[in-house]
Amino acid sequence: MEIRISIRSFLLISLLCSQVKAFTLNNSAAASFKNDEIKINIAEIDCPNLDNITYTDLLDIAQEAANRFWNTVPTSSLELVRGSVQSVSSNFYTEQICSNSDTNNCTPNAALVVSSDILISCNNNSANFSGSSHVLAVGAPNNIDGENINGALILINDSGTFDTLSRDEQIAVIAHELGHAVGLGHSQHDHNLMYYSSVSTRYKVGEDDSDGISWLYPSGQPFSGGCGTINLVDNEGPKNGFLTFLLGVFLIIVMRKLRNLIRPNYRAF
Amino acid sequence: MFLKILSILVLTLSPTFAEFNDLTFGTGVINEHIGRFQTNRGGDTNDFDHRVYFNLGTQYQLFENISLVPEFGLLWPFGTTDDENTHKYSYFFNGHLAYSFLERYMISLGTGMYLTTIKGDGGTATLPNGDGYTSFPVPNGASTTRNIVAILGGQSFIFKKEWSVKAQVYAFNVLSSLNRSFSYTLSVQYHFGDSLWK
Ligand SMILES: [Zn+2]
Repeated sequence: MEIRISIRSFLLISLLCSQVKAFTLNNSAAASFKNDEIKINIAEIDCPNLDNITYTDLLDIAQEAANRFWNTVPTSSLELVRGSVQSVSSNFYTEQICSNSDTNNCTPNAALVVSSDILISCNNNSANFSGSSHVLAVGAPNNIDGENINGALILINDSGTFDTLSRDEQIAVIAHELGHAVGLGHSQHDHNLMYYSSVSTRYKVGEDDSDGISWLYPSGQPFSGGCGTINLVDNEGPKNGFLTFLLGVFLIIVMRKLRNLIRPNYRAF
Repeated sequence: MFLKILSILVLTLSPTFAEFNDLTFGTGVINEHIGRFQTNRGGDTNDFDHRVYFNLGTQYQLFENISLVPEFGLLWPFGTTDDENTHKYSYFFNGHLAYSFLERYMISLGTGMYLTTIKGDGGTATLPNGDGYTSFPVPNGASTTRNIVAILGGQSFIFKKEWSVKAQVYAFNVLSSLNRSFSYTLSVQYHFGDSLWK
């Protein structure tokens, strides 16, 4: 099966909006990570223009991005956790994320494939950022197997612009790219983190973000601890609800028997 | 689908109505996950964003002042959202243990299964993407989230014994500091049977 992955970039300036309204995905397989916890790791790459940000800072920013946004969605099981600094090849600084230039149909560059979890690196290949210092970062799952995302890559543009953002904006930018890393595309509405453009007053996820992440990673209480399932054909919800209802009826019958046992002469209304 | 479930629900319960002392129908407002979502560019959150909801309930008296109150509810509009390509269906099945006092008040503690089915129409959406436009896949199919909720409720009868007002607080993910959230409902209930009034 051919899977199309769109590489998303994040722009600081505003452009016109189109009229479509929905949360979207960034690959046609509707792929998602299948493990309960996904680590966010940092590539041990020297970034000349991110000189105010240490590896620990980046880990902190990534962790805060996860905890301020994606980990807060009440109806999603997704949990992004702090990873570690990992030594990687210098290709992560110099190469393109796609081996072709079609952002609608990216063929992941084999040299940058992330084997598991999410890796954040800085990068100075301007082709990744449309040749613009205003494109702050790109992110995408670059290791997809069927409906499974095995690994995803986030590249921060080492143009110097990221360094000048406020801490809150840096957190929001990384959180936006984390959204792409776990399989989401853009949202049409500017109150969502997955809006294409950075907004300085971005503190929480929007409804599209919540719907999107819940669609990909639905909470499955009480049985499923981690990932829920997505049914691409039919609507499973009412069936689940009906089972719960049957459980309730069973409970009521048991309680009634119990009451009759305790007070056999109790008159029903 | 939901009509089917509703009819099964009513059919299953009807032979045992004699054992229940009430059947209620209610409507009101619900504010889901208070303050968890950003609602505009400026950073405001959903503190007072209400949706309509409907509920059906019954009451089964266990002891003098204690009843079991099963409840089914759904949020309205059912299926349509602001997004033309996304449909959302929220509904819940609850069971409460209710304590009545002073002949007109009731407090309850319960648990429930809160479900949200999110469905996409498929296809693609062309959206801005930094340097230009990209067509993004719209999800094709449905996905359902399931949350076990804890519910605290209070109810008071008004005017006549047929009518009551009810308030509930729903707690999601009680044990998690990160995605714990609260919803509340305010509603008016019509009682077809005798509830607390002797
Ligand atoms: Zn983006």
